Amino acid sequence: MTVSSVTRTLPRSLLALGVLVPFVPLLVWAVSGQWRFPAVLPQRTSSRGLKLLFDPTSEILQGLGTSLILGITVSAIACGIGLSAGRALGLYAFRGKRLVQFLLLAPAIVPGLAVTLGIQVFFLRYGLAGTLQGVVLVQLVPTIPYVTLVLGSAFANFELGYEEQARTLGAGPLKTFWHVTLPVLRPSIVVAAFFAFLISWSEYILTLLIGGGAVKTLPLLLFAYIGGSDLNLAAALAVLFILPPFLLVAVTSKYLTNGSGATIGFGRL
Amino acid sequence: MTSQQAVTGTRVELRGLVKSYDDAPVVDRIDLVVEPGSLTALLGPSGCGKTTSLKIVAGLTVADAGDVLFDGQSVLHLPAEKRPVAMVFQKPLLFPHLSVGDNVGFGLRMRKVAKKERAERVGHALELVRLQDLAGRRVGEMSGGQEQRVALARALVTEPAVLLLDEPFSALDASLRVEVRDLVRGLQQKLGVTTLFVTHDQEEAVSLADHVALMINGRVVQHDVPRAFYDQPASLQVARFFGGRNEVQAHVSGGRVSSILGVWPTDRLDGPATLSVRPEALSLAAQGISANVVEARYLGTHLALEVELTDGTRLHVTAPPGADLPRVVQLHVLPSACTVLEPAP
Repeated sequence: MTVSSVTRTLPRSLLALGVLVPFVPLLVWAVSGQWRFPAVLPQRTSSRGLKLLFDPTSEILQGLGTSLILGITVSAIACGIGLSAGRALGLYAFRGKRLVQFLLLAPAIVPGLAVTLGIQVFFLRYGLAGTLQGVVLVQLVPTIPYVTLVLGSAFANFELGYEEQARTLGAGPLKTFWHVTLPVLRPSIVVAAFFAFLISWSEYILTLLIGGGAVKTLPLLLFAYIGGSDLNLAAALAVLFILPPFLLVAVTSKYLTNGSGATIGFGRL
Repeated sequence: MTSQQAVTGTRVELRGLVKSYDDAPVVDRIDLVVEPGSLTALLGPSGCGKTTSLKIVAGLTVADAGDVLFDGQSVLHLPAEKRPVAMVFQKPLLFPHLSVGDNVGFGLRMRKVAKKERAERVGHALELVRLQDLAGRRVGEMSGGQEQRVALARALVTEPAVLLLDEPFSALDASLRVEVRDLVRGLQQKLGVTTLFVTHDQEEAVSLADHVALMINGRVVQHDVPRAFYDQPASLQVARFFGGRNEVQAHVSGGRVSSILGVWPTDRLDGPATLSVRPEALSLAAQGISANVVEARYLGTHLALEVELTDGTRLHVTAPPGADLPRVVQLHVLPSACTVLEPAP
């Protein structure tokens, strides 16, 4: 190994270690049967924790399903709204633009908990509390600002000429959007969708308040099991909770880093 | 691209077009006829409304008033995608997510042409611009000239009745510009497609177009064959845009124009006037009007002189490079190369 390759790989390896090491105890806990002080590794391994993940009584598989459906739905709706809002903010000048920008960003600044207590009253009145639709709606509040920010800056750099060119080649407004605007903006849309999914995926307080315990997402279950005494199951669940975002980063890393595919070495993994 | 089209072509007519932004007219009552199969240049300084006019013809901009007719039929009710036009912009605007071949085939795909026919026509269009080997290439891997040729192929492949070109060469460097320009002229003549071409470069307009329409401040100030802009400029403004630098105060009375350069017949009405003197009207001679040499610059093929007449009028004259230059020269004037125009403001 030459000196230059060491200086190149060392920082990268340290970075990867720093990100991955905190997860090692989780992995070990997830598969340990008996692990007493001062042993470095468990005395016995066990698949009990992993088995419980798939046990219907733990409700974890349903939780995974709920969280995935929620994440994908929220991400899709937020991107839909973010595309139109981002277009308006990124491309056009209009009266009250700054006010709109501020209002859009407000949920990212104001603590969600404070607002949600007020929102909850309305959700109860309109029968949205305790429903999946209600949780989708309330999760849009913290996701839309980020999605709009990402897509707004994408539109600010968007060449409107592409759309005019497509129009003169026989593409109507819808076809132009589908065949030109969307593909040209795809990297930004992937990033925005990823942000929205992550926010929804790890949202706890809003889900708890509006879902009222009826909508059981993975974070809710995770908190419940961490509070309980079954460390095996809690660790296994934590691993399951981390996995989807990691997979998403791996899949989308080429967009996150603008094609170089080196997000914390994940593009190469 | 069919042989039938090469013979007929579409007649394009702009009638009283008006377009204002924030109450400022950008296009101010434009009337223009583009003959079938001809190439007409819409020439003018930047901001004169020529690109706006082109976009109105393309359907990308809605006019406040006026009409656009193709072969006598108004096309204003048609959205951009339904008009039989194709437009090439200043930038190539190749879609970055598509290959070169898919870019060229885009218009055909939007018009639901079957895949097999599409591939054939894309190949043919790329041959026209001499890029037949690049169909599979990614868009980012080409030179500016190649990209603009692909954009041209993408426009021509749909066999438009009217081709609109919006300063398509201005982003290219000089050598490429001439190459792509010759290609466009060759293709336009071969295909016989009626072409409206926007440029701010008078040399480009004159060398490329059958007809030139000069636009200044939202109006067409002269529409004629290229020669006429030099031989009979319609106004001082036109003469100046075409590089006329020599202006002499004159007076017309009784069908004769008199100035320090001499007296000769004219059909202009009586009153004050300006004589616009083209460079070839002036030459050094043994006898003539005497002038002081103010400045002489050696430009390789000729000497560029600035001379002052006895009444203070300054003129630009060219002289052979080898001439042994006295301080006072004699000018010979060719009346036929002078145009009598309105008095300078």
